[in-house]
Amino acid sequence: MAKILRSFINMLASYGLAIVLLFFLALLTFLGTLAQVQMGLYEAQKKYFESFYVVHEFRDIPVLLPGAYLLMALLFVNMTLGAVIRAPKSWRRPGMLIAHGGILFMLLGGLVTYEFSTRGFMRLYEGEQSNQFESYYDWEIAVIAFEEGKPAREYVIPDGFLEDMGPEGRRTFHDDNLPFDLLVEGFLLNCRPAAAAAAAQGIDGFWLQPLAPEKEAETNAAGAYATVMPKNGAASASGILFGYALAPWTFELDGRRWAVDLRKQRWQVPFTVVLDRFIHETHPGTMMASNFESEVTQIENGVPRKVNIRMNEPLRHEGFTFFQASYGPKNARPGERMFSVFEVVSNPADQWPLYACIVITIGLALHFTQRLLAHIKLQNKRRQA
Amino acid sequence: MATRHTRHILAFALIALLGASMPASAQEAPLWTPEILDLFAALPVQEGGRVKPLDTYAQFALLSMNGTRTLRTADGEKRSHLEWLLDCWFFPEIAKNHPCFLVNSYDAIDAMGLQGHDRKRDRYTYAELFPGRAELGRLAGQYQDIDQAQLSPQQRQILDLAHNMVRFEELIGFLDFARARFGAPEDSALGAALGGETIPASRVMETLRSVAHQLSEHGDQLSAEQTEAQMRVLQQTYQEWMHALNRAHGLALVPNPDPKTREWVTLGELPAVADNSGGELAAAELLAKWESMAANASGFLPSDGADGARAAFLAALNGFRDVVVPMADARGEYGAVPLEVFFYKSKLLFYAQWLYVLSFVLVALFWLAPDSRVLRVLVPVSLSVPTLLLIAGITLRCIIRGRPPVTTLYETLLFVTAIVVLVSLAAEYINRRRIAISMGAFLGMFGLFLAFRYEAKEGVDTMPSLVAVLDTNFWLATHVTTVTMGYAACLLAGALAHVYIAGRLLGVRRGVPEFYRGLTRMVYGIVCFGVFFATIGTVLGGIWANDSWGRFWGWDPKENGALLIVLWGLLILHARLGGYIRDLGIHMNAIFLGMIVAFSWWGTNLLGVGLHSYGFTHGIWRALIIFWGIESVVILLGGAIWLMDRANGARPPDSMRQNASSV
Repeated sequence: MAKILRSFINMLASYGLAIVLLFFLALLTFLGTLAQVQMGLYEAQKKYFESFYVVHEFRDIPVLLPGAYLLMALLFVNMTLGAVIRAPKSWRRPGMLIAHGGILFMLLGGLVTYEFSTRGFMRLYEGEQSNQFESYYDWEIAVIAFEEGKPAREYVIPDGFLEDMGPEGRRTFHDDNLPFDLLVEGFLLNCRPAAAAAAAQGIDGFWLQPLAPEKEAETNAAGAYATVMPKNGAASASGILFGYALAPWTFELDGRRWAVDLRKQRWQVPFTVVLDRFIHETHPGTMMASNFESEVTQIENGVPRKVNIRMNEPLRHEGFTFFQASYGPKNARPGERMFSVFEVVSNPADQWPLYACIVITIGLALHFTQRLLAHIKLQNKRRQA
Repeated sequence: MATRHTRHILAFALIALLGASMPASAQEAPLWTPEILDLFAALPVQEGGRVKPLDTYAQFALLSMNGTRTLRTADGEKRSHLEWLLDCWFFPEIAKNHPCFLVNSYDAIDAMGLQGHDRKRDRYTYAELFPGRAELGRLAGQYQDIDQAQLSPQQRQILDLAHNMVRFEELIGFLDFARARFGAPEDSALGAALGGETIPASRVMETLRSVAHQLSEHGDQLSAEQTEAQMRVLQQTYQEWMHALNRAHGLALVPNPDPKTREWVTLGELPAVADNSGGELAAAELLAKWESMAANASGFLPSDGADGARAAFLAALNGFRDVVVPMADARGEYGAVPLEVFFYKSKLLFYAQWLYVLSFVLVALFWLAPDSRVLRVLVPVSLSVPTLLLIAGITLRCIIRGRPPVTTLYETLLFVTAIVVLVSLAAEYINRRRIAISMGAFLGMFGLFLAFRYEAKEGVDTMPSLVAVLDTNFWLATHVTTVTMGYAACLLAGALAHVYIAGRLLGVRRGVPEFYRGLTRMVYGIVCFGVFFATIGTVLGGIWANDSWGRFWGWDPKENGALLIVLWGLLILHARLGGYIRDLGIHMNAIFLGMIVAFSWWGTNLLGVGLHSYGFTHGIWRALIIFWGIESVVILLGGAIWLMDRANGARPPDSMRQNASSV
């Protein structure tokens, strides 16, 4: 048993495994790059780079391949065992140890980013302010309670409710504070409301017509059917939830108004951002952008602070980073009110690649310089001999 | 007499008249003096978002149509890009007979319903193409909405040709305003003010103003209808004038008097901008300079050649220059203009290319006479000189633009070439077997050849304005430079590996194992060098992306391309360390690494997806596929060597084992 275990560990630490992993990683990178032409970045990324396995079709023949997530995890183990734990350690040759340490740290950063980072966008017109940003891709359902004389109250259905639901799934949302349960079914990632062909189909003569996912995944329009089941035994009511509906689905229960909204997932930031002015400059006499810049005021605990966010110069604050991502309207006339779109990212490993890069550079530079000098010395000795 | 004077003279009719009164021999080309050419060359213009010398503008204008910077006229005479531009401006009828439209096949010519030349790929004159212009315009109208990637080569050619003809028409119409004269019926107030004469464009505004002023002052003496009729004459003249000026919109020649406005002013916009600038800009005077030049240009025709006309032309040109250059200087936009003129005039890159050819010849001689002491010294020198010229060229470009060396695909070619040759020289210093230096000379020559080809194919300014995301000298200097050095080293390693495979296959130096051992160590060392820079460059690119797009890694094609180089480089190093590959394996893999670099460097830009869209280019697939095809065959030949070795039962050599336990 111990022998089998040892040979297994030997295998995990081996150059052979490293080569196999590097080969498949290279192959996947190549295939995943080409796949983007057809399926777009988002789908290709999910299929090839964030997966444990991939079924790639070479022409029409499906071939099972390991996914990049699995490969990188194995590479991490392989490197830890082979290049750190088992590597011969000599103070005369520290370079490789340092470099591999840096690469491990970078892979770890990738894992932390993948598992724990949040990414979305905030769109502000000049003069507008906000303290929340929304997802590009992920949807959530919010139940909104209206009561006269009071601000509306939101109950957001927690993460993961819709994630793996699919068109066949059905789930019920229950909250003690609500006088009803909410049944959600027939979730479609991309669809459009259309007049129903048959009376049995859809609700009130309309149904959600499924569509193929968009190449640019952020433009998908999600939809689902919802049924409200009052706890007091009153008759249930059904409605259509559509991501790009102009207004949420509303109904009345016990004399109160309620709304159910299917929308892009939202997150709060612990401060407020006001867009004062958006600046868009082009190179003179051309349409080519030379600068995008947003003048914003960041307000925290009532204290305002002026900040400029521009390409390559994001705002980093309280673990959130705001990047200048887009703007509009695209063909605005001079003086027209502009809006600015910030990409908002919260990533615990934000600066890890930078640290890793420094470590890797030092390690590789040390090692290769030592090797080169040794080689030249040997060469000269040979020449003299 | 009266009828002659009362004839309404249209700008267009006059141009036609001018055309008809051109010298009978339209082939007679003006003799622009070096003094005139130098003055024009250094004239600052704003085009493509930056201020550059007119010389640069002329170069790329001709290059984009003609495929080269030098025009060969129907008589076989050579004309420089600037002479050609001046011909277009001042002698449109002569320029129409310059064969400056490069047409690559009969497709476009046939489509236009014209008779093609005997040679399939040939240059045509505007006059020859003109009869098919309407049909060309119709076809181009159909094709212009088609997606770039979907265009057939024939459609692309038709679009290009149509685009070039329009551009050419802009050039020959550029100074129409300066040749036009404006008049009015003698019985009108304007005609009376002109005394039956015609006036040049520079005087129109002032004349119209004064007549309008008079009319308003004496308004009570005229009936409403009479006033209206008079105003109509003014309006008509004004419209003709605007029409003529509109043709001078193509190129901004005058710095904006308002320091806050970055856009320069074209000659056509001058009067309007001058009006708003509160008299800072003397529009009429500046326009008059061009009118004087247009009127006196005939002094440069061999059949005319009046000294007085030439002197007047020169005075007007100097007068214009003396206004615009100090203005540009005051805006801090003139400083690099003379340097750029010098850069192109010095032809550093051109000489570097030919010196690389010379160096390659010397290297070949060195192989034939390995004991020659002269060549032992001469060969490294012959390789160093063009490399210094190339480095000087790259440095000048950096100074002119205030940018690090690599910002465009074109510049990667120059930089990669320089690095390849420098690494070759360093490798030769260590190895001294003439292999690296030979490869350096060959790749230096080849790299610059590609650079010139690429420049001609694109036909656009190689020092363009940069999109917003690239506007950061820090990241351009770090990420782009390191990753490009990685490309260069990996390509060199791949190139040197060919020597090994070819040598083994042809049985060269069979009895000298040290030859091959040295070669393997060299290739391996250069792969290490390449992996070092590619790895650091790729990670730096991620850090840049994290600052500009908010993510370290986004699996974008260009990023993936760089990652592929790193992964394959690491694979080679680890496979060697694990004993999975030996000499032959290192070489075969190095060639494959070269193929990956080609994909990363050019291929990823051709996919048409991703954020690195500032490097898109088309028409390179064919070259890439041929390259990959040839390299695949070489790798297969490597496989054949492996099979032969096995059949012979010889233990394959492993040179790296001999001097290192670990690398």
